[in-house]
Amino acid sequence: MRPPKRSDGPPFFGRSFGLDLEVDFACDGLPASFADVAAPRVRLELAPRTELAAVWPARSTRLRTWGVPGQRPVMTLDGDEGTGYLFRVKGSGWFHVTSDGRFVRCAPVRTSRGRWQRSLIGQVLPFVAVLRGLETYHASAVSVEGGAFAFVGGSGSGKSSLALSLVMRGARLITDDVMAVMTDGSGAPRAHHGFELANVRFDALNRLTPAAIAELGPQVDEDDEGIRIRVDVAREPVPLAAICFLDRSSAGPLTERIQPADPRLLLGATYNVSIREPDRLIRQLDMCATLARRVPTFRIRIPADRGPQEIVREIVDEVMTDLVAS
Amino acid sequence: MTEPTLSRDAIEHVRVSIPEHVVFREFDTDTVLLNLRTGQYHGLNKTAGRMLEHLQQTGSPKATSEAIATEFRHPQDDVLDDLVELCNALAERGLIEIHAPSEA
Repeated sequence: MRPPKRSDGPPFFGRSFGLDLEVDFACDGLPASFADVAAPRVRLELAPRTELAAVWPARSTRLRTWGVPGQRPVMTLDGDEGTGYLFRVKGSGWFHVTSDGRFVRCAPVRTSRGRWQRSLIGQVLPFVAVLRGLETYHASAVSVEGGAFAFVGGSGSGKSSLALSLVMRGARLITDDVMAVMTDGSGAPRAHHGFELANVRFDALNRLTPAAIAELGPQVDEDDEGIRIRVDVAREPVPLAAICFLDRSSAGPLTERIQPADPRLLLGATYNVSIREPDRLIRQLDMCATLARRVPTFRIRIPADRGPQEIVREIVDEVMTDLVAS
Repeated sequence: MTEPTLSRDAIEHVRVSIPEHVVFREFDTDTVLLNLRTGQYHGLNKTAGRMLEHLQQTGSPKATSEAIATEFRHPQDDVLDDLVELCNALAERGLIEIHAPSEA
């Protein structure tokens, strides 16, 4: 398979995770940038790995490792004060981010575009968003009646399934796996859209009819865990209306208002634990306080024997009823 | 010089400060402290959170105990015991500094 080439044409300008992205290569699912409000600008370009290796210092700080202890890491993140950050992703490539988050150089391995860009979308760009002043959470989100409903949970918790079930019922997808948040001029937290892509695991796919899958959007690619489909996203930042924490482990009512909000849940929902400069940590805590103060939070218990798609109507009814009543 | 531990007898004479590398935010039932040097978060219940607020404002454990006793309608002696325990726990974690009377 040939390595990706730099585009010979002009760069593409897109917006995602609250960032204006200037990209000099084809990037699946990147919505065009057209919003009137300016966003932090980031330039992305391709580069050979040898170039990245040449600029990266021999000694840097290992910030984080992903994978099974005792085995070769799936992904590593290193930092150097002057040079920035370097993601090394097995099966995907290297990604160098400058310290200020204004430039990203991608050196993918010889693999499909979808494969290496999953790391770019799922890890690198959310990291850059935090460098540039947003906060990110491990959440999917949809826009319903002008409000963003976020579903927080780890991989396999059902957040993508819930979000897509709502999309099939008329909601607008904001993001599939990582939600970028920033407060607006009035101090209200708003969810910024991700890429126009959603992951559907094979087990969730088996519960959908072919017509339902087709209605969601065209398939872009697939891997060992599922498929990715293209889904239109809400283009403007949407005020957060509710944050729902998914719980598959405990018994109890389907939905439960968490009142008062639990700061531990909000802090634990962060997607980025690697950037630990004081300014960022303070911002993270301040956003937690803002969310606790302004956004209702819920616990959603998904029974082990039921899929999210089966109970989404009940969930929405109960949450909306509670919001209207409060 | 920072007094590493606080005794019940000494509490009325020392001053307490919150170092610059410690920030905290109040929530409805908790106060969350963040140690910027370690990146660790610490949680306090409502009463302890109010104690911390008063300590930040006055620097005086004595004044804090009086205010908390009034606010929560607890005997001041009990509040002082709790305050000693809290201050020692926070000092142990580098979240406050206890200053001997000579530093006041």
